[in-house]
Parts: sequence; structure tokens; C-alpha cells
Amino acid sequence: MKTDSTMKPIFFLIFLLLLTSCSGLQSVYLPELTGLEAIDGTQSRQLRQRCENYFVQGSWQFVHSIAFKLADGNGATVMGVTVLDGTKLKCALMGVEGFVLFEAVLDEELEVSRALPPFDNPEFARGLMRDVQTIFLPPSVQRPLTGQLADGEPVCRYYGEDGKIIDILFAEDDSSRMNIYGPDLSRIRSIISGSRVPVAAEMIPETLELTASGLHGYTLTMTLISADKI
Amino acid sequence: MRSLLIVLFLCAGLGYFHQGQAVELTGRSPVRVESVQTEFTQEKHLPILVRPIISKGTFVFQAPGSLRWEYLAPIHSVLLLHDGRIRKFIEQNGKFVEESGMGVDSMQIILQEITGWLDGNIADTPTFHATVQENGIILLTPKEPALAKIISRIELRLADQSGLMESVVLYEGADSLTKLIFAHAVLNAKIPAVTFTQP
Repeated sequence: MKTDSTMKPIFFLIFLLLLTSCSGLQSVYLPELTGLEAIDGTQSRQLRQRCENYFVQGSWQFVHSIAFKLADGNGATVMGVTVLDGTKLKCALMGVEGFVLFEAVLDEELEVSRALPPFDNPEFARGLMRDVQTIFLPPSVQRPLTGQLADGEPVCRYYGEDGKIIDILFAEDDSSRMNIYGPDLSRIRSIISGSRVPVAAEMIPETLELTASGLHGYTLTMTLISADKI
Repeated sequence: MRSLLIVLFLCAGLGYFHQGQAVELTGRSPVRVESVQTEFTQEKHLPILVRPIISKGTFVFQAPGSLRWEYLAPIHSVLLLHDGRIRKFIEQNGKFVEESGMGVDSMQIILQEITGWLDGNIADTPTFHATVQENGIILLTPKEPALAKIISRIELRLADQSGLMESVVLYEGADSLTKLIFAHAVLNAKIPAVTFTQP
């Protein structure tokens, strides 16, 4: 096939797009936990305590603005209500104007009481509640491994029964992040917590940014509107 | 979603576009509404909320069909309707970002509904039954069962000044409601066109 010269820039553009698309889909894998010997017993206890404090204790209600952005650039902003009551999780999503689009409770089972399009997909409901659970509730595994990554960053590593691995890491600027890896050790979620504000004797992140990796990736940027201990 | 948003916008619009209907339903004198500017406070009540979410904003309408609906807090957003085009903006990091997809198309249909409402009569709306209660509240109930599952009823309370609305309460379920309370309304003032074209 003869290629017209005017087509060359288009092929080049397509090539570039493919290149950038693929780079965006490159998997990040679980880093090795090294420097375990550098963490002595006291440091390990302190780190473990810090990881416990990463999650709020007791019953809480949070209201966030949530900017939802899909990989294709489309997105929307909604208000989210999250209620933590022991292991029970209640969640509601509303439009900025206040209409309830989605409401569900996750206890032993997921119970969706309201789901309007485009939030009426069962997969969406499960995925959303799983994300909320990951953000707010500590891993079911009680005792994490503690250590450092190759760059010296302290980390708590939780090995879940479902094959997932969760790393909680702390940066020097007091921000923290959580990386979740699937059974194939590729990163599936990353949650960055911004600076924290004191509420009812606990430190609550003002912002949370969840990035879901993969072909159907998305980003949730959550900005705290209110936090109430209940 | 479409039905839900229809009702949302109707609620905002109803506050000011009901003079014909109000005459019919309540016997009040008609006031020609050329424009309305007002502030509003919105209370969102849900069973899972320990206290309602309070939103504040402004509402501007210019006949025949220009609308600016702005929430100032907790999320700064602006919805504009002008020349039949709807645009929605959300403030992010100090700048307005236009939201595309995910509902904007539905909003266009909704605002077309509002226009129909403005020209029509509450009693004649294809969407709701309207009745006046003894306390003067206009009660709207959905005609379609599908819509009734989403919105059980809407209550409109007229202000003392003819042509204005005091509050709108939208019931989504037994314990879930949105209440809009209007204040500091200005009727028929001149409004610059840019109000409806830029966030």
C-alpha cells in the first residue's frame, strides 16, 4: 500500500497516542520490603502505631466533595456522605444540588437502597463500596509487617486473606499514602492523604485522592466538607 | 436520572414562575415576572446524616428563559441556561471547570421542561398533579409511577409578595428531603446578560 505523504503525520500522531496510552497503562508492581534490620523493636512498634492511627477510631460521619474523573477525561463532581459504624459502612452520593443518586449499606452484605443512572450498575456499587471500605476501614489483618522500602521510606505491609497486599507509607511532609496490590502483585489502587486537621482528638485528612489503575482507571479526589464523631 | 433532575430544576424554577398557576390555585393577583434574583439556603436531610448538609447560593432568572443557578458553598458550582444552551461549571483550585458528559445532556432536557412549565399551568403540567392544601401550601405529586418512586411529593410555599416563593420542599423518600428557603428576593430588576453566559 502506498502511503500518501499527508498521511504520515496522522500515523505518527496515532503512534504517539498509542505510546502515551500504553505508558499510562504500565503496571506498577509491589516493591520489595528491604531494610527490615534497620527497624528495631521500638521503631517497629512506633510505626505500627502510626499505621493504626492512619484510620479513624470509633463511629464517624464524613461529608466530602468528590471529583470523579474517568480515564477519558470525562467526570463529574458529587457530594459523598460516609458513615462508619464499627464494621458497618453507610454511603450516599448526591449531586451538587442535593439529589441522592446512590445510597447503600455494607455490613456483612451489600444492601443498595437507592441507585439512579448512571450509578445503577451493580458492578459500580460493589466497586464504590470497596473503594470506600479501603479508604476508611483498616485492613482485616491486624498485624502488619513493618520495614522500609529501598529509598528508606517506612512502610506497614498488610497481607490480606483475599490475596491483596496493602502498603501504608509516610512521607517526610507528613502526608501519607496507601498502595493496594492485587494477587498478581500489580498496583490496583493508590490513595494519597493530604494534610490532616484535628477533629474530636483525631487527625482527619483534608483531601484524599484515590487512583484506580488499569484500562478503566479513574480518579476520585475527595475534599473534606465536614467530619463528625457520632 | 432524567426524571430526578427534571424535578430538581422544576423546584428552583417553580419559586418564581408560578404566577399564572398561583392565581388559579390560590386566587392571588398576578404579577408579571420579568426577572428574579434571590439568595437561597438549602437543607439536605437524610436518615444517615447526623445533621443536615447546608448549602447556600443564588438564583437568577430573566424571562423568557435565562437562568443562573449558583451554589456558593459547600461546593461552588454554577449552572447557566441561555439561548437554549446549558453549561455547568465547578470551581476547582480557584478556577471554574466546565463539566462535560455525565448528566449535562439530561439537564438540557430538564430545562426544556422548565420552559414548558413557565408557559403553562401547574394544574396542566404533564408531570405533576397540583393541589392547594388548607395551609396554603401547593402540593405537587408525580403522575408517573416511575417518577413517584424517585420523588414522592413537592411542597411549595408562596411568599407574601405575589410572584415569589418562600420555600420548596422536595421529598425523595419518607425521611429524605431537600428544602430550599429563599430570601432577599428582588423582582423585575435589570440583569446584565453576562450573568447567564459566564460563571
